[in-house]
Amino acid sequence: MSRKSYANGALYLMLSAYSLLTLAPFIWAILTSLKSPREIAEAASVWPQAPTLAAYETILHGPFYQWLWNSFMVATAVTLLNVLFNTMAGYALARFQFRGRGLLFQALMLLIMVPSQVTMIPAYMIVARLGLVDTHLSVILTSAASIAYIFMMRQFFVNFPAEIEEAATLDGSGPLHRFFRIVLPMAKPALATQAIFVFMGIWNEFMKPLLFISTVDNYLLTQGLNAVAKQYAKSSSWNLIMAGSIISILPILSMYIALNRRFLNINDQSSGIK
Amino acid sequence: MTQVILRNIALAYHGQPVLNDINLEIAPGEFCVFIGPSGCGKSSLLRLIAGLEEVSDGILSIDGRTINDVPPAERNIAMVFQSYALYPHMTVYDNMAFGLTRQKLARAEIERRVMEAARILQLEPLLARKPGALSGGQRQRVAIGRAIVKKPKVFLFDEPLSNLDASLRAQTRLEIARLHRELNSASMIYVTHDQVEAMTLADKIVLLRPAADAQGRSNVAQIGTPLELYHQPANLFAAKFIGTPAMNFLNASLAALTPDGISALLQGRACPVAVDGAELAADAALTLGIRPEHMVLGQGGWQGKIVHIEALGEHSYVHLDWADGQPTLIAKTQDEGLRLGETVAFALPAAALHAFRSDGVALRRLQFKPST
Repeated sequence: MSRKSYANGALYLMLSAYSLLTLAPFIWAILTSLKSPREIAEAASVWPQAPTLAAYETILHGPFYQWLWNSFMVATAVTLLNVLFNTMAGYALARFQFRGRGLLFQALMLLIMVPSQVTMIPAYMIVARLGLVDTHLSVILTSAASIAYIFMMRQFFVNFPAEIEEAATLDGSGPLHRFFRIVLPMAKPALATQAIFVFMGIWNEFMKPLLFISTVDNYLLTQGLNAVAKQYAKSSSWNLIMAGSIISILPILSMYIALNRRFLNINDQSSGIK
Repeated sequence: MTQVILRNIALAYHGQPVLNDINLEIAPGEFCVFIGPSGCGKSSLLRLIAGLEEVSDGILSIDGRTINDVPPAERNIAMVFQSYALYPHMTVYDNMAFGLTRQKLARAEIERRVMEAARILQLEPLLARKPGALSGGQRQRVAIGRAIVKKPKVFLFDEPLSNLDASLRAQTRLEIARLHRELNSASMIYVTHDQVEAMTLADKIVLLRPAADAQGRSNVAQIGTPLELYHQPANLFAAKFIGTPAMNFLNASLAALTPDGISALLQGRACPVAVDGAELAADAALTLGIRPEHMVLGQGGWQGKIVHIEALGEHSYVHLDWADGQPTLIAKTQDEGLRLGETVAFALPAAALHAFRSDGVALRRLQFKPST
């Protein structure tokens, strides 16, 4: 075997080991969700001796569907608003010449450093004054834009070929028409990347709903799963908790699979230019 | 009627002058090429005509209408970008139809124009493809097609061939020349740094120099036909820029005025030059110039030692070290028998010599008859 083959073999061995390491908790969660509470307590084997979907049946009764729906609605709204606002803000910072642009950008960069815990109480007070406590709107409005993704989009548009926009200008395209007909379609990879991360972030968000939402029917999935965990943890019903967790990651997984191709092609915008 | 007029045009970025005092007239159907070194502002001047840059001073008009403040889309121009700038998410057809759709033309008219342009540019089989599935040459043709369909009064080309390989460049150059003949009522303004493109395509060449070299004067070093710029450069800048290899220069001074021009003092010897030196002061410092192809090897009263030979097959360029304090001369020759280190005689024909004053301005050549 040549040196290159050995190097490839070693590389694949390392990557396989890393994949197994990453997948191990996920596989453990699936296997646990298929066990009975007694089997989990005995801890005799990693593999379920008598696999059962009872945990899934139990978890899908009660308010779980409601929480799933709540999370889906909130995550979808937050993702759409973020994609719209972050993209427009990033585009404006990259393309428009206006007084104080540099200062505004630097101020935004400074604000990234402020931990979200610091802004949580002021945000709660604002939400309370608006009368939005215990509504999904409270989570949606306080998560509608993200400086990190404004920065990401700004960097994307800084490297976006200006000549294509100039060609559109010569073709009679105004700023808004240009943005929606030329720029956005070409920014699909960046939009998909942003959408996946925002959706994942808000889907897994726990602190914000915990602070803003108190009615069980309004719970988001993370709150619901936490409630389930509290309810069953002492009786070793880890199968229920794991079943809930597995179901909760399915939407993110399917979204990632759907947008994977665009996600991987974030830098491929060059086919219109040389 | 003159199609494009530029009067005292100036362009500055953040107070830094880029273009200064540009005066130019381009006739209908005329093929005008902007040429000059990097950073001379030739692309900026084109973008200024397109409306992608704002005029800092002066008047810009197309077809008798001042367009300084007219939006780019209403200037009746079309531009072909260096990078093609096609819309990658649209098909070739949609790329060409986009501007017409914005003009709100009828669907049938749009289709007619696109199909006509596709026929001229042989793009018919590619209309349903997206730019990503096209070769560089095909993308360039789509970019040209996108300009043609708009039926503009002025075509603007910004180094459209610079991304193509040598053979495709020659082929596309011919296509552009053919297109110019077919669309003979439209003016074409073409930016390039390639002298071959400029010399072969242009009716008129505008040679630009960087603002730093212009020293407050106009950036335009010379305007003329390709052969005028080659045979009668107006100044040292034009003489240095036009021609490959560049013109040879020799340091000299005025010895005397003669009936056939002047006698220059070159390395202590008299050298006749057929230029009009009537306005020169006595002993005025001069720079003489001669193109490599006009040097005559193997005869004449001058001698030089061969320090380098560039054999190109068809001909050779011989570098001659001939006098202390004088730049090395380059001579074009068909003689393949010359050897490195050999001393050869050469002549500087009076009719082939150019002469420039100390301020760089060329003296009028007396025996040169422009063929225009």
